[in-house]
Amino acid sequence: MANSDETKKADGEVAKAGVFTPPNLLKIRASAPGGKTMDEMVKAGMAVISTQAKNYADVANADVAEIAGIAAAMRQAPDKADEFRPELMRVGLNLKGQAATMGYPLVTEVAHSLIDFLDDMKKANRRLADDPKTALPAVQFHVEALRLLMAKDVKGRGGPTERALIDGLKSIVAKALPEMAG
Amino acid sequence: MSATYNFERISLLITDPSKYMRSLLVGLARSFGFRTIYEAADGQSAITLMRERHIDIIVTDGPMTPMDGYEFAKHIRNSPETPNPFLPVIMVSAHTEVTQVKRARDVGVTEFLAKPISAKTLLVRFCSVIDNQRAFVRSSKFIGPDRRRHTDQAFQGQERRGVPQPAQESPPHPDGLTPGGALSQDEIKALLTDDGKEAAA
Repeated sequence: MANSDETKKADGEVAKAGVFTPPNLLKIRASAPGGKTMDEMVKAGMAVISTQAKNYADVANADVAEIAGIAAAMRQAPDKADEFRPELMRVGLNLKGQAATMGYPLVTEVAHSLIDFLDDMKKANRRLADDPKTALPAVQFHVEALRLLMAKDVKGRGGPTERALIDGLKSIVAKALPEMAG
Repeated sequence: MSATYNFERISLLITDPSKYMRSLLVGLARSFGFRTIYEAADGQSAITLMRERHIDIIVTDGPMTPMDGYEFAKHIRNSPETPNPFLPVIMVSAHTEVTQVKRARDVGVTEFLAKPISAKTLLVRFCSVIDNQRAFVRSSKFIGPDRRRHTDQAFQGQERRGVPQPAQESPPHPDGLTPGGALSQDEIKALLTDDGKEAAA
């Protein structure tokens, strides 16, 4: 069923927008007999996650090794550090997006902090090469935190040592961004 | 009596650059009852696959190369060669910075789920696109789901915000723990469901 809304734009021009609802065939198919309840499906899904989590440490260690290699390449050529940014983001997003699901929420937290740091730099129009003495150590601190968490196989929320590590990381990032902003 | 869902006759395309993440998403979808599941590592591969296969629901990451999930969703909504511009597109991404979520909204994604995910959060998105099919808006600047929508009827459980959950069921989410530009799932939902004025403009 279609209809048409007229929307007045700021400059007075009237734009036509069609609004319509396609038939919901998926709902008809999903209501076929033999379905499962949401509780049953969530339980089955949690079992899948538990099984897959058994080999996550190997995946995470490979990602951490890769991100350490990227950071090392940045340090070796600080003026070209931004060329490595997309790779750093890619691996960082992998760690952020997978670790907590697999029982490593602190790894997700550190990767999240790294991604936020890179995003904040971009929003401030700062390149990594503009502030190598501040930006690259901040990146390296994240790498070391990831290495430590995986070396100790820290699952769950960790203990006081791990919390201190995260707090220290936050302090470094909070200090680095204003310094780079001048 | 709880509602039941039978996903056996609904086909799924999962697009994610990480083999491990694809494996997880496929495993979860199978455990929910999906039987026909296709995989692609980026948007271009997904488009190629869609020329030959019938797809009912798309799950896609955001950052991918050579074609990312935003361009892929834009193609689905706008390209003359798209098999169905109204396909539900669920973006499942760890890049939750506000500009990325706005970009996802503006290219017409149906749902945005922030990684890390849990079985429940993914399942709720599937049920939502099936139960609450959104009207579509087509204007000179936008084609995609109407952002004016109602409360998610599919979710029957307790809201997660502020409620401690067992780690396995709902992993502790980093949002709220780390200050920065990333959005929480609640903020993402709010952004995707504004009053519709921008969508129609």
